This record gives sequence, structure tokens and C-alpha cells, in this order.
Amino acid sequence: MSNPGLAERAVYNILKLSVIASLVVIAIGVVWMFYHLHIQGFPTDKWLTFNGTRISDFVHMISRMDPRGILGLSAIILILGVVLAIVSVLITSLRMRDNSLAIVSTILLILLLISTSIGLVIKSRG
Amino acid sequence: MSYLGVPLRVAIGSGIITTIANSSTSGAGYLARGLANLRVGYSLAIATILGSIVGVIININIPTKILYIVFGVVLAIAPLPGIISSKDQIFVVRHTNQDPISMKLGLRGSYYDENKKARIEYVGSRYPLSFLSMMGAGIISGLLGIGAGAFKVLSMDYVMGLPFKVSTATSSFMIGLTATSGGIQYLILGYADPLLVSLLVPGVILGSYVSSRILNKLASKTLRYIFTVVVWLLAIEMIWRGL
Repeated sequence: MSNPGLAERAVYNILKLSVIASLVVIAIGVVWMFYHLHIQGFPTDKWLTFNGTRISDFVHMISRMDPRGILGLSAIILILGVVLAIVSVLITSLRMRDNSLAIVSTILLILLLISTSIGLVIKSRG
Repeated sequence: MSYLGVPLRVAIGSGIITTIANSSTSGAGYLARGLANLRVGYSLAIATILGSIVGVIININIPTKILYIVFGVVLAIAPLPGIISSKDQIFVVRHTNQDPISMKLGLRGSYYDENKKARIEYVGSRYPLSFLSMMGAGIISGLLGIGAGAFKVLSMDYVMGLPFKVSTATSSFMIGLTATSGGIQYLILGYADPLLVSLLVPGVILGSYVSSRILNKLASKTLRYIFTVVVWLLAIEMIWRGL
């Protein structure tokens, strides 16, 4: 069996980085939001309602200089952090020839792909 | 959030994203301190993710009221053995005989207990049974859109025989994996609000950072009592939903 400390260290670093990155993005988004609101006046009812935003809308929001697009990136960064942590464990375990951990992390990645597919299927059905 | 007028699905979706932030902060901390077991967490997360997919399907297709009551009663009863037992089991390696799967997965480890000032070695066993109970936790997670950490702790504590602190820390680390599975779906479907998430995440990160530093300093018994109160509150909430 390989040294489990390597995989744990990789996961620790990636998760820590994703949390810091999401906080930085939130800080930038909040500053941008206040600047945006300062120019355009007080928030409208549209701004103050929490009706959810699709992942595909974040890009359009950013292109429209809407700060909520930047704020939405923080959620994507957090999810990417978890996914990258699994990928890093897979790579580490393959390099260390730790088959059991490699199989487990591969199954986890497949399950996340299935989960994403289910979401896309539900979305396509409206 | 739903009491503040946020639509229920948006509240659940945004809540799941903050759960990932919570788990990434505390989970990373627990991994760094050797409290969370990566192998146990990843191998059991397979069951919780599968369970959460089943939970979503159950949620869509059958009435869930009876399930709420059943799970609520199970939750209320489950912590009783831990309270009744007067012995502090932390120094005891509870299951020395590992099943072949647990052995292959390398489900063992050690950590330094700051309260006892001692290094505790432990062995995880009964993986198949633990896998099944973790699927139950995943089903609850998919049904209710919560982390179901209490079920995970109970499974690792009673079924797998891990020390209570390791169960708590590993559960906290694992929740992020289950939440990511749901979080992706909620983001695709537009049930997560960026403004709401950005308001919640900093507070959640601060809280989980502080709690991850406190956990190892507490006595296991104190931790178990706090846990039992939380589990009973959850049990009452579930039975209430079922009635």
C-alpha cells in the first residue's frame, strides 16, 4: 500500500486553495456589486429576490458586467475544488500503484459524471 | 432560508453549495490534523452518492411521509447505546478482525488525541454493512437535501467501529462529496442563487474553521452528548415532517 499522506496532502492543498479562491471571488464580486449599484442607483426588486441562476447564465451575467456572475463563480470554484481533489487522489494513487484507492476515486468520478448527466437530462425535459 | 421567503428549491440548492464550503474548510483541516480518514471517506462516499441518487428518485415517485417517520424513529433510538455505555471507548480498538474488503481498502489509521494526550490507533471493519447503512444516509440526503452527517457518524461509529472523533471528522469531510453530487444538479437546474451563496459562504467557512480547531480538544463523551442532542432534534424534525 502507498503512503496515504501524499494523497491527503494533495486533497488538503486543493480544498484549501478552492476555499481561499472562492472567498477572494466573493470579495471581488461584493466590491463590484457595490460599485455597480453606486453607478446604477439602489437595488431594484429584481436584485433583492433570490430566484436562482442557471450555471449557463453566469457567463452571460459576466459579459453584461453583472456582479452576480462573479459571485456565482464562487460556487463553481467550490465544486471544482472537490472534483480536482478526487482527480489528484486518482493521479497520486496511480503513481504509487495503490489500486484500491485508484478504483475508489475512479468510481467517485464516474458517479459525479452520472449525477451531472441526470441534471442535464432533467433540464432538457424542462 | 425558506422562512425568509426564498423558494424552497433555491434554499436547498444554495444550502448544498454552502455545505461544500463547510466540508472543504473543516474537511481540509481534519485531513491536515490526521483526524479524517481519506480512504474511509472516499470508499463510503460511493454509497452515499448512490443513495442520494436513489433518494431523489424516491422523492419524485413515492410518498415520503412514512419514510420520514421510520428514519426519525431510527435516528432517535440510534445514539442510545453510546449514552448508556459508561465506558470511554476511545482507547479500545473495537473491531480487530477486518473483513477482506476493509483490509484491501486499507481502512485503518491513527491520530493524536489532544484531549487524552495520546496517539490512538484504529481499524475499520464490516465494510459491506457500513456501505448499506451509508446508502441509507445518502437516501436521506437526496430526500431532504441535507448533508445527513448524523447518519454517517452513526454508521462509522457503530457499524465500522471507528473512534467517535474520526467518525465525526470523516463525516464532515465526506459531506462535501455527496453535496457536490447534488450541487452540480442544482446549479445546472438553476436552483442555486449566487447572491445568497455569497452571503452565506463566508460565515459558514468561518464557523467550520473554528469548529475544526475545537473538535480534537473536546472529550469524546462531551462530543457524543452534543451529537446526541443534535440527532434528537433532527429526529423530532423528521417525525414532525412525517405526521
